[in-house]
Amino acid sequence: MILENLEKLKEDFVKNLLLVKNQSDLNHFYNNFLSRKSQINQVIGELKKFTVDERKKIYEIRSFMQQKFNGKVAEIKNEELKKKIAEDKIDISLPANNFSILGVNPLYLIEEEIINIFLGLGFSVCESNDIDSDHYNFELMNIPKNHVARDMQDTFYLDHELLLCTHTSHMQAHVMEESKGQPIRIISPGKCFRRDEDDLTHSHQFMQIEGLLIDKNINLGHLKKMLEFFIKKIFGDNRKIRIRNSYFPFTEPSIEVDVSCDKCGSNGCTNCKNDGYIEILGAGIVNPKVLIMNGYDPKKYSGFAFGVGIERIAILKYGIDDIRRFYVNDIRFLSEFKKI
Amino acid sequence: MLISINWLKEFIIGFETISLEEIKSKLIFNGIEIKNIYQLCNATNLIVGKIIKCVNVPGTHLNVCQINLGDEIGVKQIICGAANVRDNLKVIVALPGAKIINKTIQSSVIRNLESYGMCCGLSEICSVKIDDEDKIYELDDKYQIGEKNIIKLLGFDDTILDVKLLANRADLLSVYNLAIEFSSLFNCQLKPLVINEYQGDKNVDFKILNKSTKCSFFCVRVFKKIIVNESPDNLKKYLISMGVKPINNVVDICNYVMLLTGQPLHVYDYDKLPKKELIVEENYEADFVALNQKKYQIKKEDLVVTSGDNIMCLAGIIGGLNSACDQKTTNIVIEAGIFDNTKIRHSTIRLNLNNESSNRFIHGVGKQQKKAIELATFLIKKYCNFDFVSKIITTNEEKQVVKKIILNVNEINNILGTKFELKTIISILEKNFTISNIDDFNINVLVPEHRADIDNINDLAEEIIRFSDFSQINNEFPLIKLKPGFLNIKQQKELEIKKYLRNYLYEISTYVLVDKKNVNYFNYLNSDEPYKLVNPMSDDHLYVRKNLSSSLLNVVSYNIARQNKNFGVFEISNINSKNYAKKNFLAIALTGDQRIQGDLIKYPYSFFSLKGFFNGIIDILNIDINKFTFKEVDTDNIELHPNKSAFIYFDDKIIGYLGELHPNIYHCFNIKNSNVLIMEIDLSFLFEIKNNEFKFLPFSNFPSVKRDLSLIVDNNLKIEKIINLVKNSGGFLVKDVSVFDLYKNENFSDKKSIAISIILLKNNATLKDEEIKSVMEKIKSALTKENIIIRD
Repeated sequence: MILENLEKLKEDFVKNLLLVKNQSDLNHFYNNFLSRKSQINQVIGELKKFTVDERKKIYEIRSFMQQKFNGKVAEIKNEELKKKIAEDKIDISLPANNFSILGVNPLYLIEEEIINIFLGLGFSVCESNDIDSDHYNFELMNIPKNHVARDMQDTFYLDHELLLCTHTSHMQAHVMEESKGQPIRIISPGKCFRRDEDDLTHSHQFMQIEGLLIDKNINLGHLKKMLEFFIKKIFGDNRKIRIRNSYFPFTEPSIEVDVSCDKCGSNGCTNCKNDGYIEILGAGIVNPKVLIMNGYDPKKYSGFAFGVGIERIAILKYGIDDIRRFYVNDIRFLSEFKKI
Repeated sequence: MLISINWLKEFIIGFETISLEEIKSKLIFNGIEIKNIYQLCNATNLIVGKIIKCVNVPGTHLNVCQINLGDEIGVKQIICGAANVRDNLKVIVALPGAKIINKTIQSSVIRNLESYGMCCGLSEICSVKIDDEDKIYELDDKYQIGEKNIIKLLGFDDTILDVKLLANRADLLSVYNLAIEFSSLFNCQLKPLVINEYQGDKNVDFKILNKSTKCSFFCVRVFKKIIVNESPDNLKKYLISMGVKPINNVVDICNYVMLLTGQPLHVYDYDKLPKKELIVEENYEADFVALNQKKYQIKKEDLVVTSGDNIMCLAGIIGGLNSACDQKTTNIVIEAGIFDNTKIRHSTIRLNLNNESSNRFIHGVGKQQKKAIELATFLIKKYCNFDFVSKIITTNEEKQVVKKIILNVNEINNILGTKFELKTIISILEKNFTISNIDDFNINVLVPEHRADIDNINDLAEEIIRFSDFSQINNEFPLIKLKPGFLNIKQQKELEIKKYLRNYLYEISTYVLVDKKNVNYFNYLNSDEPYKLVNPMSDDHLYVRKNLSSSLLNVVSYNIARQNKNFGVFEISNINSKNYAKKNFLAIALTGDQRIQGDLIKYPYSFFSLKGFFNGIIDILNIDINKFTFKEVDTDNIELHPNKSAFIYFDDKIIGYLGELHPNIYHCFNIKNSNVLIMEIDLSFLFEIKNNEFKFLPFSNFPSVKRDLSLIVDNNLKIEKIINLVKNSGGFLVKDVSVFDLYKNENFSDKKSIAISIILLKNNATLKDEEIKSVMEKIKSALTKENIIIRD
């Protein structure tokens, strides 16, 4: 008779389980069917009343119920989780937290790129100062008082001796003085000043990097190789390089180095004034007069020097339309330059 | 400089076969910058006409001209407004359809009068910057009426190169020296410049004297009974090509010789000189009316040529109107000299008198004065005639110094990185230099007088590679001792700081030169007098800045005005003042909000943002932060907000400042409706501070205990003091104290409520309850002693 009741219980169990929809239903259902006081557990409490077969049957039913219940528990838990996940949905298109990289004035990017290239070639860095004496800026660079080159570099003077440096070349004299006749390999980044009206292509303040190498048996070929290596690193391997004769008082022979215009592929356009090439730096073999003036014996040592205009490189590399932008520092401009 | 190709052709055999492209590429390679290449005259449909009758239109400057244009066209009416239009004048007529400079000529009606084309002035048909004063070009009577090829006959079929020469090649400011250079460059033969020498009459009533050390040579020649007239076309054409205005035959000859040889000459009317003398001297102060009819104030430092104590000429620059040659002149004195280039440069710049003559003296002229006078003599004989010519009167003897350089073939190859043989070098150099052999490796090179740029073996190396090409040069890295290249400690630190700050701020670059207003702000770190420019371009860039803050605030202002209101910028830069050389300062400016997540979550920049950056920098430099003290600024500070700013001290030295701008200073930088914060620190000083040795510190693995306290304290009590009180009273078990809540106390206006948490930790054991209790009691009693109320 009890066994019959159990069959009924099982039916009831299945029927009621279907009605369980959430955690509270589940608790209620557990109390009814699987708690200690539930019918099935009471039967199990009086197990010795039953035959072996009946016991077996009771356990079967009990195990069936437990299994079904466990299944339901998992199901409900899963439902609840699904619901929570659904509620947690975010809009992935909302803005990111501000960890993105900000902009840097491109002058610094170019400066650091050039420094890195020359560090790799065994050069050290010696920053140029903004102010120096006429003696270092001109005299020791073989530009005496009556020299025409003083016209080319119209100078801001602070008094009869001090001036704002017109180039970074004055660092050559300083480094030679400090190196006392020993080999030199330095680059010198710094600010330069000339009495130019500021316009699209001129700025009274600009940045240069000077390079100086003095050692035994240095020739123009070494300079050519070094500059080609440098320019290709900056502008890419596909750019062509043109070397021209030039004149600087502190180098002899002097050369000017041009890079092919990328807008027209060196066919000539307005960008390169129909030349196909754009001037990017001046260089040369250190004038023996400069070596002697700065305490080096030209019979023992020779060297080369070069000066690169940072603005010019940045203008060419990034296609910047106005040199004044470097000094206005519009956030919209800076935001465009994140990484080399 | 303008170069006439036609003139060069007169001296270079076969130059006409060289294409413009080839000329262009060779010149570029040789460092001669080509600014422009153009035809002197591109005009079409021009014809020679003769004005038969010229009648003025009453009340106007216009004239109705009947012009005979030859058999083919006949007589036509042309309206002409030129000042020099008159009967029987032969002129160049642009026929209807003619293309001249900037326009096409059409038959037109002017004031109801028909005009068949136009009578042309020089600047209307030629690309020259010569002021022809509204005059039409007057033709020599020899040209046939109806001649259509007049441009070629006048020699205006010229090509002009507008070039910029290298600064060391002043000798190329001479057509003949250019011809020498070009003949070598293009491998053409050069025609010699034949100069006849006139002995001249020794008996001449004329004296010269050189009283200045700034004139190294001076000579004159006197000519008598010459005829001053208009120059012939074959003289005028080259002057026009080179942009020099023809005046009269005597003046034109002087200019012609200058263009050809590079030696400026000056001509005086002999009869207008007060005394028969010319003296070169300085120390004159007077007004001087020059040939251009303008008045100039001559100062003591100007070099002048005088006669009878009157200034006749501003030496090397411009002559005086008082001794100018005109149509009535019959006797003349021609002068040639060498004047100091610096002197001429200074006078030229001061008086704004840059011209062909001063330009040549500024760049330096060679020793060719007698040669130039002889050449002028030949031309004066030819075109002006003379009855009497004197000897050349000189102040001193011209000494020709020939430079000799010994060239060793290995030395050249060592400079250039080439493998030239001596014979190749000789073949290159012998075009411009006199060579004599010494042995298989050495030669003597004699440098011609005009090549002042050649002094030593390196100059010759340049000359060789210039006439060869750069592909001859090897292309390899030097074989030198290996040497590591690296940034020194300071440079590394600076780069680290930059990279750190770039994560949060824009790195900017601003001008070093500032105006008077900006140089006076924020001088807390540097009280020196600023450097002031002796020769500024404008008041905007007058002083060398002593700090960066003003520059940054101007950038902030600029961007706020352009609707960028939430950002921060920084700059690291040199600072220079009289006692403060080569210092590096760092400045940071912040405005608006720090954006955490776009504009959704943001937080206003504050004093504490700057304090955070300072801590970050100190972390990078690995300096103990406790070595710095922050001190409030004075209550009467006018640039920084007195209650939201601080000075940073290291010992007794102020090394930085940070804080919000004073409300009254915003308008000085044109900043409206924004909060702005500024920080500036002496970075060089921080670099000098000895940093901590970096070693690992072991930490306790036992659990820590956290205890919170709620306190009510006086408004003026600094949090820092409370934290120190807790640390000192709690002893070594107190590992950390932090503030986690802070608000104004609602019950007492002079009190604030704070909540702190205290972390207790023992290095070698788990803390026992009684230990915790004992520490907390000590802390509480210490706080209570300081009148701090502890809430339960």
